[in-house]
Amino acid sequence: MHGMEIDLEKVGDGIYRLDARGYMCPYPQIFTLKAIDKIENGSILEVLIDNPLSCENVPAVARKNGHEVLSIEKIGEGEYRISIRKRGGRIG
Amino acid sequence: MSYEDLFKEFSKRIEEYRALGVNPFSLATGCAVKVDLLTVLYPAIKSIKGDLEKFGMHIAPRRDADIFQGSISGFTISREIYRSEDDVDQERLRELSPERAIVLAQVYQRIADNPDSLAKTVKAIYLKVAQASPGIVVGKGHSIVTADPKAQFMVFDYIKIKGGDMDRLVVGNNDTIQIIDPAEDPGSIRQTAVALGNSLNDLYTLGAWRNTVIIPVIDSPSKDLRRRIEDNVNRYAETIGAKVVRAPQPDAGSLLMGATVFAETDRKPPFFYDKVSPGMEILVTRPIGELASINVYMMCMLDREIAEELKKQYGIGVDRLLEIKEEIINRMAKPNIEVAKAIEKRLPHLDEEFSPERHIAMTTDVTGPGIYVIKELAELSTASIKIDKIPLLSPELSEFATKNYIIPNATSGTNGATVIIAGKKVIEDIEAELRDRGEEPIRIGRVVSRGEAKVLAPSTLRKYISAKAYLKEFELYEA
Repeated sequence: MHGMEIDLEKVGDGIYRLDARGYMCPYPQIFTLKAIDKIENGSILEVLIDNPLSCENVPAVARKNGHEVLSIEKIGEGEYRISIRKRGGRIG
Repeated sequence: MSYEDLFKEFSKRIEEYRALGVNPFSLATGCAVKVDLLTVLYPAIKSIKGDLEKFGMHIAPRRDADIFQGSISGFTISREIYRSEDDVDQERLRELSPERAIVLAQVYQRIADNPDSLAKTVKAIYLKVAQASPGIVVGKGHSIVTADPKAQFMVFDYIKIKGGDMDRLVVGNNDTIQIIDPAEDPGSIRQTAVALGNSLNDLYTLGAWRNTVIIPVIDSPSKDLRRRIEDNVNRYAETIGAKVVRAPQPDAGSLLMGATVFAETDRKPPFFYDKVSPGMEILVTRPIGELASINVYMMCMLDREIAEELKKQYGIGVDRLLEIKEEIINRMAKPNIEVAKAIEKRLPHLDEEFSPERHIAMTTDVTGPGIYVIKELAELSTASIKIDKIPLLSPELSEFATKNYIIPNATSGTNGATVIIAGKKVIEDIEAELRDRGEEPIRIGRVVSRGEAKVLAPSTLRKYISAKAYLKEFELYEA
């Protein structure tokens, strides 16, 4: 993340990646919501995290906002990839 | 102030942190920095305890502080800092021959993901210490996470008792935070004051405040910031009449502030678990949930939509949010020494028996685990406790923080309130005294029976805790 902007990378057709490793809870949650705002409806966002608390909270905040959590995979020691399909806009 | 003005100030602050080489989004606020107690720390300790005991090392059960017989002038402290087991100088340890140790472990957050990796990381160091110091007691341990893999270390404050007065007790504790408010200068007096108050709070909770000694723990990305934090420590110590003792620091380049602290007492600590009886009341010395406001403020600055939702749902605009946050941080920066004095008066002298008519049975302070600390009291006393209310500093912000998964436990705090269990008369007395001393004590429940450790809490607790591991520890009832 540079300044206040998130680093969102397009990694495939309709697939984006947000690398939130190195951040403490609750920042991965907010960066996930900001990333979802930026992608098209139906696209997939892969969020990479390594903060234990965010592993529970990133999927929870995505579901709360109506998005679909496709998978939570452990990709290394203490590292996770959470795949989320965007379904509509934000819910307050 | 408008959102735009606050955002401008916030962005400037973020850049200041970055110029120091610190990413504020990699810092946890207050006690949120702790390794999760229930799911990681306790199982990790359980798994290594047996192996360490084979070498004569004893790890004290989770308590707020280390306690031993002696006086402040009757022991020496030697600080050793280890990054791996290779740093443990066993020859030096044998010469030192410490009786006790107070330990801080800062571990990389990926390691704090599960009990096995945490246990593996710290066990090698503990084993080497245990081999060279048979019979050593680890009186207090404090485990925190860092997002920086290079900032992993353990600080051992070894205690060697020389003698001196043995007619009193020494109470010791360590605690650290990375930051309390990332929207404020990291070298401000308030950040240091919250960190030190938080370290001292565990002593104050046990009524210990006399002849206080502060041995700072400071890590900083710059020499200038470290010097400013050191100056803050001196200023803070003066306000409470404490002595500051310098010791080696980790020099890992991360941001960390706190202290190992000691104070004396001539009273028995409030560990009268078997004296807890039905009808005793539960008092908190002030409302809880300090961390919700700070984290909600951060989220609002990072995302305007969140600020707009807060205004829409609770009528709290960013200017009001800022006011609430400021009030709460000012409160956190104030040492809870008045509470310590009120507790001390209601503890038996060392040669005196506990009296339910005059003494406090149990206390603890509300920090990272928030209201869950009452479950810990219930377990220690095998009592069933009924809570009537959850006294929050800002119920709206705690609810908003939970609903939006901003923090998993919006009852948690730093340098927070003390929970006191005592008979009705003692509670009435202390409530009146604390009120006179400017505190805001609240009676929140009572002990209903003995024999089974449980806490009955109003179902509104769901509005303030999203972490299932903590919520399942309560028996919720409809109020």
